[in-house]
Amino acid sequence: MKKFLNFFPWVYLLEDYDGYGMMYDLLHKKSYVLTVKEIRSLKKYLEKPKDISLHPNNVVSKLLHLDLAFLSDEKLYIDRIRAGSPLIAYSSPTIKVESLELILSGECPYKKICPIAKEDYLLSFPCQLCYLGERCSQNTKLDSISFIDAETNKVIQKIDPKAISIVGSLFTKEPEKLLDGLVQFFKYSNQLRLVQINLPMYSVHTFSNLLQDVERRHINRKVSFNITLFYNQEEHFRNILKVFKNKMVPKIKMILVFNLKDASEVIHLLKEYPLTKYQNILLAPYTGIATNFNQIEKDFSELKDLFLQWFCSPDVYEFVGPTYWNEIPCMSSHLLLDSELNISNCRWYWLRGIKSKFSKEALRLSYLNWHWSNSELCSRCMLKAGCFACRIWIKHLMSRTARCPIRESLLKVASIL
Amino acid sequence: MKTHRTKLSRPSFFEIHDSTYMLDRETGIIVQIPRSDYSHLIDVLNNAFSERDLAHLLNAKANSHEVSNPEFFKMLAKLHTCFGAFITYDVYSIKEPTEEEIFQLLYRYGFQELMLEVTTACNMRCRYCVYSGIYRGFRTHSGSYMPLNTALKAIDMYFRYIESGSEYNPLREPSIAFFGGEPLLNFNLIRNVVNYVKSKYLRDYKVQFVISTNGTLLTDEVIDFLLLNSFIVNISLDGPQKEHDRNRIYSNGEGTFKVIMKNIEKMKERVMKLGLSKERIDVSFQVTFDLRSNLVKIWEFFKNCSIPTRVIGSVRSFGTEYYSQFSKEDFEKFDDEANILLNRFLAYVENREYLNSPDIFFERFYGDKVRRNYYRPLLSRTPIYQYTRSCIPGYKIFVDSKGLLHPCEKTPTKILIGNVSKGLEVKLIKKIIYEYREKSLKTCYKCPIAYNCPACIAILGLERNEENCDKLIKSFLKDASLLIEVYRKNPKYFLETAFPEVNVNECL
Repeated sequence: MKKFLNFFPWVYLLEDYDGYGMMYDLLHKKSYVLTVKEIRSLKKYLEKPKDISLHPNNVVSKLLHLDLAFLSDEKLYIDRIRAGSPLIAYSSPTIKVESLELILSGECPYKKICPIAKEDYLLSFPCQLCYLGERCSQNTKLDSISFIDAETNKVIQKIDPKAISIVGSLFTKEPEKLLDGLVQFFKYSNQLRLVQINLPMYSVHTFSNLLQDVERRHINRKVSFNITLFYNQEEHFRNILKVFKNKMVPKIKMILVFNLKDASEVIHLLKEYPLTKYQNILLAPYTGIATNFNQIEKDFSELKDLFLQWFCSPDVYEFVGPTYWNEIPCMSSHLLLDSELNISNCRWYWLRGIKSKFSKEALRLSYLNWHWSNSELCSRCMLKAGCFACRIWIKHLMSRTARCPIRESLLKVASIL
Repeated sequence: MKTHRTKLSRPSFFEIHDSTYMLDRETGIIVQIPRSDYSHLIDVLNNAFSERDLAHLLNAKANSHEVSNPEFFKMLAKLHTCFGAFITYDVYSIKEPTEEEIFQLLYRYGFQELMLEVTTACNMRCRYCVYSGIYRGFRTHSGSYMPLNTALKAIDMYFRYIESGSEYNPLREPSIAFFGGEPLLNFNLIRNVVNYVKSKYLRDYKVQFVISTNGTLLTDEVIDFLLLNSFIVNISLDGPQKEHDRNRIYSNGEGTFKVIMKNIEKMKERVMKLGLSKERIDVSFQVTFDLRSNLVKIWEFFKNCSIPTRVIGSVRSFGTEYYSQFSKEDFEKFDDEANILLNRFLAYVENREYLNSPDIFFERFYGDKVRRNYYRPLLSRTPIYQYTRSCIPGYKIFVDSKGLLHPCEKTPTKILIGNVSKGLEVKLIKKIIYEYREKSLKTCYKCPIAYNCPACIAILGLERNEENCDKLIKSFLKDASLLIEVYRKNPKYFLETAFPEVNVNECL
């Protein structure tokens, strides 16, 4: 009997410039690559009813098995489920900031041995690290309380972010003051749901106390932590894992910084810590500016499916912007504010001094940077809805080859269907 | 906002070409039900008395051999458990927005346009005019002219709000619209206002001027002024002469078609003479029809016209007896014509004619509607109001000739939100929000289109009744039918016309 194929309403299939496809399951936050051949075959099934072979290698069988589609005896109209309307941005454009990064400043005792502070490396996730560049060595009188002053709060209210990420080192010396500031934040902002605190690795000794205070003040559901780890400082890594094991904080992420050429050793290290199942570890390799593309692609393949975390499957709330409005996932809806009320798009820009005093024009320019231009390859890529790789990093790599190492590696290692 | 789950909510069902569709209230999703399993779904809905029952029964059907499409029930079960389908959340209290919250919302989303009613006078007497006395709650024709002082106060007030909100929404560009009556009867004021804005605000803002005119008073001087100041010019024209002159007339009953067409020609000549590039010209027609209009003739007329149509809409049906003049035959004849045009549009969609020769009339008349419907917001709620998609007063500001502020040109005259001297009065805005929301909470909580309803302060004012709500539901379902027909012809139409630059193909 002939059957029709229907996608579940939370499943989207995007086909890109080379005929490859990506299936996005927005309900389970999973995604699957389809080859050119599979896409061709699938299109035939979508257009007309077929006798569908249940051979396990058949693309339809795989979709059914993965709960992405179902068969019916007639072609059914089913609305695609999504949150909001992709048309609304055109009717009343406005800037919606999901996450605001607040830059404190301070002195880092590890400045001298920091593996990424001295050389001109390309960082894959500068926005996730404790790293503040030259600011790490600044000895300033600012502390967390003076930073979150009335003027800053006014700017934060105007931006009205849903999440705030704090980075800087001084505040870890005075966790009480930091937490006072956080409680104030939650009172001030209309829709602030989460504060993420980016901690440097050396703060591990204060971390336990900080966690206790967070719990005591009943804000543990609203606070998450990022901890920057350097691959070559294994001792700290072990200590932090011990702390994690005994504490109940909902969101802790470890950012593991390493040179991409050490990829295979990093994999080996991670295998020793199965308790995390890598869920809370973000791999953040860096490369020298002059590193050869082929070498990078080769090193990527060492990481295999681990780097798939760079590709973060969107949910129903995250899908619209990147897909329909060409928003860059790693950059859109994200702003940075420093203690002098400068704003910048992200840490990469800020580290290079690309920042402006908070103003209408500065905000507008930041907004323009949130989008791919139509000529950029990424805007035609099936991964565009969920690729969180640092836009600057990828742009740099692609400027020399017009190829994307992430997409190419993904196609090699992740023929999931 | 406080809510609690009260009970299961039965979806609404509607039929198109022998197929049954369900519309779920909470998610807003439309799903076609396989014919062979319709009775099984009804069986589940009749026997489920709690959420747990429903999930259990849907999952049981998903694992049953008696249904033809078990996976369909699996999908419904997931829509229920993961997205809240088939559930009613009864809203029992909503926090009153504070003055600060209202202004923050307006700074972010509001002040999209300032509309100046430069005069209530008009040289025409269109039969369906909202100011002709046939609409409850609206003013009637009169001869009031807005003084320059009032207009300039309104302009300064508007730019104060724009400036205060610029760091909340830096993407907003000021838009100033001139409205009437017939605004060109007060052309001197328009010219003075434009010059004032240019001298005072053009350094900091890119201001868009807009005018809605009946097109009868377009002299060379007026045309040059509008063109050189890059106005968006909306000219009301209802189609070929017979169609237009039936309703759009002078007070002596004479039609206005010939005068307007002559002026359009004059406008084209001025464009040539001034040597303006096409990109700088933004002139379009606004078309209104009623049940005696011949839609096919109107389409043919505009299809061959070099000036595009911007808005095509029927005569407003709320708060009037206008439609009581039409007979059953009028309705039937209109439907017949409408069907002919619809079939032509469906062929246009199926053959993907829009890629090579887009038909602006089709795109405005059908396309906008089906795109809006296909991409309608699901799973989302408007701020402040729980139900409908009404805006917050202040989203636009309509300034009447006496300097009183209203939420928009379509709201009944009595709905005020301030005046040009004091600016927006939050107390008045809060009162409107409160009253509108109270009525919504009472009437919408059972409505199948509660979250997608186009009702707003302007459409229903603060007067709601069952008859009007019924009209809105029927209209939604009619639009849903159109959407599904278009989808059946060519599912690519939506993406290809709404997001031609999306760069990836969405396979459906």
